[in-house]
Amino acid sequence: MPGADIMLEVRNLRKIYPNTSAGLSGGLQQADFALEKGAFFTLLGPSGCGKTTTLRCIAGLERPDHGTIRVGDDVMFDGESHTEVQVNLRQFGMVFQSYAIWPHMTVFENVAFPLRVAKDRRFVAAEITSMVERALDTVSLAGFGKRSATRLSGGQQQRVALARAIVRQPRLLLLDEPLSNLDAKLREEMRNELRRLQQQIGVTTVYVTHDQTEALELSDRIAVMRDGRIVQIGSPRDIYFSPCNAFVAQFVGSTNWLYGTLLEVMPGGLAKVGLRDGGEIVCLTQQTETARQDIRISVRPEAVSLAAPHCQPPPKTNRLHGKVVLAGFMGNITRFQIDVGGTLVQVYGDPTAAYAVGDEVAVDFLFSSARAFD
Amino acid sequence: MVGTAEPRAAIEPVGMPRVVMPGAEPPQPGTPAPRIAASRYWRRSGTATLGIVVTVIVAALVLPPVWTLLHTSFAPEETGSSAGGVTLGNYVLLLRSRDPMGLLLNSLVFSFVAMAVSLAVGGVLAWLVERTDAPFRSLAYVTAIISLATPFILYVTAWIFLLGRAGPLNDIYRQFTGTMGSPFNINSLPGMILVEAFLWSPLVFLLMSATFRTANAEMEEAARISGATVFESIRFVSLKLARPAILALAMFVFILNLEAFEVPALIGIPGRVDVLTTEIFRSVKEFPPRIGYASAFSVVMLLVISVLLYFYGRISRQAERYASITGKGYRPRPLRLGRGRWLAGAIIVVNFVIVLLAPLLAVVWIAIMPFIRPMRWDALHTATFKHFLDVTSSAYYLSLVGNTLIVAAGVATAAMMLTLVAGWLAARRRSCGRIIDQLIVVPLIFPGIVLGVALLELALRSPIPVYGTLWLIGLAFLIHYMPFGMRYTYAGVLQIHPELEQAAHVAGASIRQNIIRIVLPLLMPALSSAWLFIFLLASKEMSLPLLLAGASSQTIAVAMFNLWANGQGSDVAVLGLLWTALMTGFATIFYILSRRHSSAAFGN
Repeated sequence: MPGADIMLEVRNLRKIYPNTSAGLSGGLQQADFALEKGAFFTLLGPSGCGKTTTLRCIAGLERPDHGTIRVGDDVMFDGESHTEVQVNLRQFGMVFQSYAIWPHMTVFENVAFPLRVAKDRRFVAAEITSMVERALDTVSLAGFGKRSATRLSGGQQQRVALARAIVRQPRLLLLDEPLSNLDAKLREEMRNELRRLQQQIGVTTVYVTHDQTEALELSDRIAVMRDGRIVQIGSPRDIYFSPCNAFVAQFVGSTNWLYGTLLEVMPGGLAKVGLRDGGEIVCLTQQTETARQDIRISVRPEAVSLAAPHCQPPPKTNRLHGKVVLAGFMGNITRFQIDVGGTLVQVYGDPTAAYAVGDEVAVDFLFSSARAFD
Repeated sequence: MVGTAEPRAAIEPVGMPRVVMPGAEPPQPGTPAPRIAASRYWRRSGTATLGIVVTVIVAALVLPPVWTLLHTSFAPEETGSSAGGVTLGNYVLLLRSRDPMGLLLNSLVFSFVAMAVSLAVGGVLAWLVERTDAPFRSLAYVTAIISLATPFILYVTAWIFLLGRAGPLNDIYRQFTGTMGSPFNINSLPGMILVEAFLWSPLVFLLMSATFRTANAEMEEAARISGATVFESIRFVSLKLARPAILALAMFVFILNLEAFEVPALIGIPGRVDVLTTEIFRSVKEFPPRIGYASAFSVVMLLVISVLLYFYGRISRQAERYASITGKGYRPRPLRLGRGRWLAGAIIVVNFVIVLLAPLLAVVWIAIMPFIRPMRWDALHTATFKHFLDVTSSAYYLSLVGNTLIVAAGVATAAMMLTLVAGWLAARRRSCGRIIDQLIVVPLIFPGIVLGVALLELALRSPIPVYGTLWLIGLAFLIHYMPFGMRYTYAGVLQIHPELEQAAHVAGASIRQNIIRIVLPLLMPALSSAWLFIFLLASKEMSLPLLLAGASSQTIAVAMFNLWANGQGSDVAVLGLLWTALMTGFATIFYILSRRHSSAAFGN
């Protein structure tokens, strides 16, 4: 049911590539989601998870096996009724991984191209000039119009591709790993710029990446994908703090794994767990009944704090004991590795914390910061 | 070949830390550390010697023909040797000869129209095969590969039969109209153009399909997303991007046509349609030979082709700038032609019939008939394998096969060994790299017939009796095909990341060890493609050995030309068929190798 403010709705989408040698490979098994107008939505996952396939289906570059794609009130693709809007009539903007800047045109002509080939209306020269200049201005490339497209740095090519994608005020902006070809510093800069630009023009955006930092920082909503399926959809906070399974917990952010046996389910979604390496802790669980089973517990390195071994633990806090194996001062944090009964635990500690290798320490983390998975 | 292998710059990984890990083991405590011999810079560079040696070899191969040609063209006709001083007599003679402008005009019209036809046929075919869902796409490849293996003379023979007075087309016309006329006259300029165009359209197809295949599909997709229709994205993006490549290819085919000898000789001479190459051939072969006159003509041709090659070089450099490397391994979604699919399929099939099936059938017909006669059902009962038996049991023909295989394989090997080192020196900008790069492409300006004339003069003056030996033919082939090998090795070396070689040096390899153990294995796919390509070309080349072969050093192509001139068409057909079958095997290997090579280099 497309509501008034739903901009993109994808239902039951499937696209499988038949592979002659090894059965089915890659592709997309199933995708369902709906985006509100103006949302910044990220498809996040390891390579081969189907994120780019999803994006290319939305763009109209691939024909899905079945499913529906709706943009606003218009059906772009419907497998039931065999309807498909041609890719050039969808009025989307897209930035490709290689940028695909046409080398035989100037920067201006590259950006003006969507206006020149527009089917629904004719743009006069003055209009084209002002729209292109506005787009170039938006990506901070004012004055670059006459430049040959072959004489641009990677970052500039990226901006031209972006200007070309937004010049027509597209209904959707599709970004296929646009930052992956830039170096680290530029990548960070463009990340901020991209977010600012998207909020400025308010275009609904679908972003594909395998980089979880990008996804967390840029998105309103993230879909984590694996093996052609969406595993979890939610806000960056949901995804990071309440991962629905071990894969998401591991893929988004880094985490420590503790292994143990579920001893008792307690009220408030908590459970008591006996660790394999000795000791008992309390953690969050989705389990409602006590069944003695092996589980693993995820604890984020920044959720752990170190303390002197004999001080009083704070309330609702698990305490384990260990020995410092590695202490790396990184400026903003100090990264410790603590040997807790044979398991190595990563801790991002206060940079002023002065524990040396070999020190005995107490390892504390809140009940609510530990999460049990099957 | 000149048009295919475009050197691409090695791709530098972005943001990768450059850390050199010293891989050497720490010295064992007991053994004394070996003393490291420090030598001075100017003695240290082992490439200097290598560069000078290669430069001298290449110069010795390339410069004498040029010098001889120039020298003879300015020498007085009567003496024909170096004694008589300098004269412009040969050039005056050239202007006064019968209709020099007509010759030039014939050459240009013939080359240009044939180029346009083969470009249109090959280009459309390549686009249909690489970018659409037309049926029978692999048939186009089969056609191209077998055509690549067919000796030109066999091909031309087939077309002379097909379109000749007794050929099936005129025969059918007569049967339908009941008249005695023959509307198709093969021995005319249009006839020559048609056959020449068919001759090169398979090569155009292979080169163009490589262009379409390696083009970045995201470029077209970006146009489609921007709102362009299929037609608009082809017009504004695909064609514009391919334009430098197409222009360069057009120039290349034009030069090939200008240098062509087989078609003008076999079709043009009987029809009294002369072009530059046949005029040169004629003045050498008539009695007494007018070598000075032929040399003057050759110099004119060299100048024309040099100018063309200069522009070709500029255009193909632009094509390289446009060549884009794909970001991802996505195959572009082929264009759905809908009902047009079957029209496209029909085009592919018609091309197969015209370019391959019809000539092949004609040759088979000639081969099994006791004498050349029209293609009719009622003539079929006279079919005989007599010619096959004659040819296969003849020691003479067997020696021809031996000669050709030895020369072709020897030349391919020699050319690859030389161009491996030359290409490496040039691509890595080592000592003498630039000079070698410039020198080694000089033979490109020689049409086969012109190089033949030059080497003929050299051989006649040479103190060592090389005239009429296989060695001379081998030398001619080596000079002729060196630039082709260079294209492959130069482009290949550019694709090897320099750090692979630097790592070898850091690990202690000498220059020789680096070339043998690092460069050679990495270049193996490119080298084997180039080897087979030169082998195939050399084994069917006719114009060079025609001028240089002696009684005991004939190659298949020359023998076929002589048989044809003697009216032994059936033997030509049988010999040609057997040879084509053998060469198709080689051509298939060549194609598979080059395809794998290009996908390893450009795809992921």
